[in-house]
Amino acid sequence: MLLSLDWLQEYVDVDIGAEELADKMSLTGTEVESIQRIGTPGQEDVVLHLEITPNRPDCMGVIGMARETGAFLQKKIKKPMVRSREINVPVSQSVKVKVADRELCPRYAARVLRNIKVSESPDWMKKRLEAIGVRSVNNVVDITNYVMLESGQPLHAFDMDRLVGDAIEVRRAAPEEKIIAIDGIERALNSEMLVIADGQGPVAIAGVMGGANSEVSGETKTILLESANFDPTSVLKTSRQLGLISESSLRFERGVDIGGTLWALDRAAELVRELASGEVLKGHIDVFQEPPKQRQILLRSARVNKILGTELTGEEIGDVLGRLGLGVSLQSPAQASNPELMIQIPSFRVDLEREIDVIEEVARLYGYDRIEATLPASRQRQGLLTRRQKSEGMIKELLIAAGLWETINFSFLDDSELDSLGYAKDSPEKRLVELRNPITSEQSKMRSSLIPGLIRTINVNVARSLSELRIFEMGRVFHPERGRTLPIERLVAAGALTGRTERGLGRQEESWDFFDAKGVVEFLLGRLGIESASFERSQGLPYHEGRCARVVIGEKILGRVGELHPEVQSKMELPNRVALFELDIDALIEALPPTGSFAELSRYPTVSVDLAVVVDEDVASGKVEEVIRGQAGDLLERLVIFDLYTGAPVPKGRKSLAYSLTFRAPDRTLDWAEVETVRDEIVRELESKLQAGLRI
Amino acid sequence: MRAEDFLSAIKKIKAEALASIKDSGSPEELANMRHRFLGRKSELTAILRKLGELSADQRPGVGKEANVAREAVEEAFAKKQEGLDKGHLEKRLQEEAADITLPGRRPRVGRKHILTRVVEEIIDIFLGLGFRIAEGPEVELDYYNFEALNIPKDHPARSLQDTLYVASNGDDVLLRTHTSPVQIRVMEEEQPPLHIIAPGKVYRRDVADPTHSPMFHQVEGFAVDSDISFGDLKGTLECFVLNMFGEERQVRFRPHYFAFTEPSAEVDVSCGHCDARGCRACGGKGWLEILGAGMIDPNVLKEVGYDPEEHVGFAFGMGVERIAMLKYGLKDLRLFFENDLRFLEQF
Repeated sequence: MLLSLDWLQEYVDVDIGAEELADKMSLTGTEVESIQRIGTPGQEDVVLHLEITPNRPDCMGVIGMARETGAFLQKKIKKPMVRSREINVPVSQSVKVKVADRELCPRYAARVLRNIKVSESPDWMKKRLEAIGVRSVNNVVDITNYVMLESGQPLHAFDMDRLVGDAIEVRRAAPEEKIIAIDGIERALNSEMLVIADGQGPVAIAGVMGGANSEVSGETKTILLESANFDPTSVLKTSRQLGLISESSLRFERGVDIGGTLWALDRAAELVRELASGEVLKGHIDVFQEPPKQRQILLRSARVNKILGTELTGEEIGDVLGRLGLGVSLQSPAQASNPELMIQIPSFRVDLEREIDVIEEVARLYGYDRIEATLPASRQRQGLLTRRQKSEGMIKELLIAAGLWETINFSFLDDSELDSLGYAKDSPEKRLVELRNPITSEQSKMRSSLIPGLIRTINVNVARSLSELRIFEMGRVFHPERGRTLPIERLVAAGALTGRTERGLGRQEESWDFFDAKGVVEFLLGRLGIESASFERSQGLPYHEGRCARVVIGEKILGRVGELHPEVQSKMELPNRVALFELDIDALIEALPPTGSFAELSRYPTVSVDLAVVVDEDVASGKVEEVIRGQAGDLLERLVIFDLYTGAPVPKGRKSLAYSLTFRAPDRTLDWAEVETVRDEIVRELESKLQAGLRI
Repeated sequence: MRAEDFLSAIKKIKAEALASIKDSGSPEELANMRHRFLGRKSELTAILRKLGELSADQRPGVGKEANVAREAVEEAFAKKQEGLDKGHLEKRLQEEAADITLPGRRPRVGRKHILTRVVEEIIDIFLGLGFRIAEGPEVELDYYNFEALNIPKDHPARSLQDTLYVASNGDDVLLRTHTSPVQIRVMEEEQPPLHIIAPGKVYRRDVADPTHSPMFHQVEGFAVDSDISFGDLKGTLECFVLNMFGEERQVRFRPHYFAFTEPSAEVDVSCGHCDARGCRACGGKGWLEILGAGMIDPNVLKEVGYDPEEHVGFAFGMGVERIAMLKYGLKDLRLFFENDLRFLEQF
């Protein structure tokens, strides 16, 4: 909301500069977003851009802000006196008002003015309106705006001569009723919307906007001036449904002071009489059954001090609240240390309903800055991470130690991304949590996999000539689940390695492939102490059918490692092969071993031998290792494959695998003969189990 | 042999040995010489073995002479060895001198995303203050995201345009718009005292631009106990802000409105460039808003079955991206989720 300082001064004496005023407003709950100086020399004004919080509709008028200002500057405010000079023609003879829906319209007041002269507004009024960005239309319309901006009570003027019949009704719209509002746009109404109707149909959307059919024009002679109170929720809904937000609807949806209806009406009528030479018919129309009871709230000083952490006396509290225009009376004996106070709430403070609401007022005006900063009682609590939280953090650290860069991608995806990746129809990735009101189709589903996001990141970087990437993300994926309202959220870590390292002095170029991704996973599993995991050949897009493995512990699948299928790679215009992995964090954490115990370190030296064997090409290296380990027993400390070779002199259809074996005994120095024996046994076992030959 | 012969032989060997040592040019040559002059098969050793041929009164004199010669040769060897070693080392040092302006071979290590690091920094501060971490679902029920937080349907604070809803579930399932639902979930399960922070992703129906993002991160925090006060909220957040931004900064609390706290506050930190005087970096304001906070509204406490007369609490929430942007001077929110390596590399 824009507030003119010049206008504010009319109601309260501001004896400080604009900056200081703005600071004080901000520190008492009305944030000043900017200060703008306008006008010409001698006629300067300052316009404050205020953020009025939704609980304070009373501040959506200059008088409301004057009250606030008066409260923190400790000054009295001067609200204009309104005198109604009426002619001796009762208003009841000229129009009848029926309110059919009392719930949506708790109060409807009106006056009729005749013989008015619609013309331009006087300069002082135009200036005030224009200072805060309101366009001047004519004196009558300007007066309704002026009084609304002043008091916070929206007003509307109907051209009486254009109303059909001599009665108006406040009712819900009938199905298929329509109205052309004063913005010239025709809108269809529905029975949830409240309208003001004449004999023919709607002439205004209650609290939102008037109709073009009864708009005040240059020819208007008689007006019906409306000052009403509409249900906030109803106005909010109607305004949202119609996509029509007005200064009026913004006020009604927050709640307008039902005790201020007549003041605003009389103030506007008086201005029309003065500025448009109108005659005010005698009396009000005021459809308003029960005057609201004045709200009273019991405020316990003890509660104030408990919530705020202060030691305020009843007197201090009373003083603060009195400045806000709240009535305060002591309920306890005067000497009581923490007295109870009865607080009378004026009707304009629609937000004050409970004790806590009043406590906030005390804090606000007393000053947040004056409340002493303390720390909560300790209760011997400790700030600790759970085992799971620590493990998640450790997995992230390990992936970083493995050389991967963390990325964070949006949790959304589009079906087309999954299609491009070639996921099978029945794959879990294809079952998606769908958004009802997405912003774009690219963000229309919740991700079921982290892979599409990683591919997006690769594409972004490749387009910027950064084609070597080692990245990962740890985040949730979403799967709908029959019988559950909320989808399943699974925490997953996924990584991608692609491209070639830069050439460097004394360093070989490396191209990332399947074995790098597998190496990351092996490293991670190793460091986490998960020894029982193994890799099994796996297939299925988006993976390369020959370069993909499942990571399993028994029946349980921890994740997958694989290269992106070459066809997918070219379809997605990726320049290099992409090695990927996906790991389920829950499964990993479940597989974590209990804390291991220390294994004694042998003090004896090692003996190493190399072993090169020739096996059929389809014999897996993993199988060869398994046989070696099985035969070597506990003396084998380390087994490393250091060569894989096919081609002459190795016969066609066969391959040569070379291993280095390191032996060590816990209790003695191994002698060479003993190791030779073990080695010979391994060779015999390899020969018999895998038809291996020794390569010399 | 006679004693004189022994003595002259010793003298000759000594002279020969000293000359040879002097002429040795390499450690290998010197080792050979050592073998030749002092080894088991050396002339000197042979002479010492033959001392028995001498008479008892001659033996000590010759023996002494032989030992003196031996010691002299040993000493010469040692000296020479030292010299050779030194020369050799010097040569090696010279040969191995590298152009130290050539780049080092760097280990290939990854990096955490800047947002992860900021979240961890926030978490560390609160762990130190005795808070625990809780988490909740990102796809959330309307009840936890709004209803239980004192934001009923048709509340002005609940504008449909801001929330992403999940299809085929009516209005009931949505992407959480803040991390506050975790408050409700924890309070439903546990009894006070509670001191919790809840970091996580949140979603809004916003098109990505420099200051908006459909997804971002928040850290929620709250404490419930029998005697928590607004003063405790101030103390806790001041402690956090000064740790996060530096002891020289100032913190201020401004009254504000949130449906689920009362009294509510927005928390500002003084601009690091102008110390709250107002400059270009802070848009002339002097203060930068970083947190929303307040005392948990009694309605919220009642909703989870707590008695507001018995238990009070505070809650606060902050945007991680905003804190990262303020801390590192970033101007465009989109950079966080683009994952340009050059961006990731900077932090």
